[in-house]
Amino acid sequence: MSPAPQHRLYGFAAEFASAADLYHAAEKVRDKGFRRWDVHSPYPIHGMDDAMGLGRSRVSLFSLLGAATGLSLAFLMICLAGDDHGIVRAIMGNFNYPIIVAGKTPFDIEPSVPIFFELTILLTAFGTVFGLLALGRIPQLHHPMFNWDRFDRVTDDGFFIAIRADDALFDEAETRQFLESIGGTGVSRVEED
Amino acid sequence: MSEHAASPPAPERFRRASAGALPVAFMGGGILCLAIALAWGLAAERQQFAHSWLCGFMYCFTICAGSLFWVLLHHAVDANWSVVVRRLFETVASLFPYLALLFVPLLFCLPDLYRWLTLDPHADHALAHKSPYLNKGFLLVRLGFYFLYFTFAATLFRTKSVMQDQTGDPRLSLSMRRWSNGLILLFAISITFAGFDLLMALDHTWYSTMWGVYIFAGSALSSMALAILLTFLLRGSGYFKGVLTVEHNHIMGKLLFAFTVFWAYIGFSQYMLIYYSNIPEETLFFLRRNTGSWLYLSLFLVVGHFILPFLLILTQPAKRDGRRLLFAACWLLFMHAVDMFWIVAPSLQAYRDLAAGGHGDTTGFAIHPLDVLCLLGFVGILAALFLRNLEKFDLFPSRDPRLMESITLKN
Repeated sequence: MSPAPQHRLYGFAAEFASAADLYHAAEKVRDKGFRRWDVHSPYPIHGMDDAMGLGRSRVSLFSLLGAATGLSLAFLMICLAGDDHGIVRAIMGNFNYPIIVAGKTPFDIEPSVPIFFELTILLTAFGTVFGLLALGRIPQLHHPMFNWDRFDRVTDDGFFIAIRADDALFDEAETRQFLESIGGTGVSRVEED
Repeated sequence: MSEHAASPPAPERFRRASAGALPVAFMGGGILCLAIALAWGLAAERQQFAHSWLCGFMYCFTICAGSLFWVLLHHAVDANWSVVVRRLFETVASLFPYLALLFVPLLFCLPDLYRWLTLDPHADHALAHKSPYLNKGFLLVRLGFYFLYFTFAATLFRTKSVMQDQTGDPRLSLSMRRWSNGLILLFAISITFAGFDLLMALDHTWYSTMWGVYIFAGSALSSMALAILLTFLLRGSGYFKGVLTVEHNHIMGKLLFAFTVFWAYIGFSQYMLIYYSNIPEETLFFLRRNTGSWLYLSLFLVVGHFILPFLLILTQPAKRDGRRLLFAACWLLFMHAVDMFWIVAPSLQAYRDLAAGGHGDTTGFAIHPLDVLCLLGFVGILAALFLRNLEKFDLFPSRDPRLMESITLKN
């Protein structure tokens, strides 16, 4: 057997007794100025965003990008299929199939609006969902926190805070002491694989 | 979480003195406007008067109905955020008895509004088919029902809510929730058919199954805009300290935005389907409003009632920033008046043309002084009555079991 490789340090983690304790501890971690840290709880805790000082989510940017893509795509599709005049001809050259349906002109704003609308909505939804997954780095099949046996209770009745080693303020001795000072129990080293 | 331990605020009471001379000015100006309109209109411009009065009436009617809707919705879904603003909605909705009174002059001019009342059903094919519904007796019964329903529902919720201020009995909340489930169904029926009878029937040959929803969308939107305006005015006079926060701006802004989009969605769906199927008796409504200079008003409605407010309150900071939200609310209240005018005014031109033997063509955009007088008169009188009623009870339901949840709201 070869000797076990040296494990890199993920950070220090501590357990808290209740959701309220976790909430107040999070406020203290935030006020201390840590940036790279996380809380883990069995259920969402109301107001935790503020307690952690997370600020505004950037998901809406992905939504906007999705919306803009959807609207442009709809416009392009309508141009490709129907319009036979003006700017569209200049852009699209011969790629047009002007088909008269129900006596309507090849391009009208009224029947185009549902297409604009639906494609915008669809791609906004895609942008939001996939943007959310990307920002949350989901799916993540394994997380260093699972290397800590105590962490199994996070899906049952355990409330945890983990401060990562790559935080600028991280210091092995001080961070351990800090987690104990804000009411954390069982403060442990958590290692990466 | 830590704020949950805070104790409920002391009850607040609005004092009319804090509004200065406004209530008197509103009442005086309102009565003056409506008196001039009545005297001038009934003497010389009977038909114009009837349409202008209807336009002003519907503006206030839809706002009051929308306010009742928010009260009903609050109880039906057991909401908590709206507890602190509920009394404002209740007070607006309780103006219905006065609205019923202000409808009386129209009872004497019904044939000036609704051409079908002057026609012989045997001579008019469309009317012959609709006469089981469109006849004077049944119309009066329905009008009576609407006013009875709206007055009853508004009074019921206000009485119980005010009773809770005194007793603090949580069972009153349960009782209001039970009532709301049945009454919200009747609300849907009432506002739909009121829309049919009062506005769609201006042309008895035209019909749109989306009309009721269109009227409802405008009601819910304009009443939310009014509530936003009221909270700003009251906060500006020093009320609601520590009760209404920026979070309430945000949530009301979200609802204002949602109903701006909903109004456009319904309005466009109605228009698009009629455009696409292209059936003469259906297109007539839009044809009259797209001909001549009416086209510009129709386009203004699209831009002003949807695109502008949509862009204005799209972002989160806009909903939380007081001034932008306040501006959007005032603007939408103005656009709601434009919407009502856009529905009623072209009908008068069509009616006149039909009466002169034409095909019901419209001549073009024109505002009559009576339109302005009636709108200002209605708004003035009802605003003064609102302030009077607001003074009678606490500004917010001070002993509602959900009051603290509403005050500590987080979006």
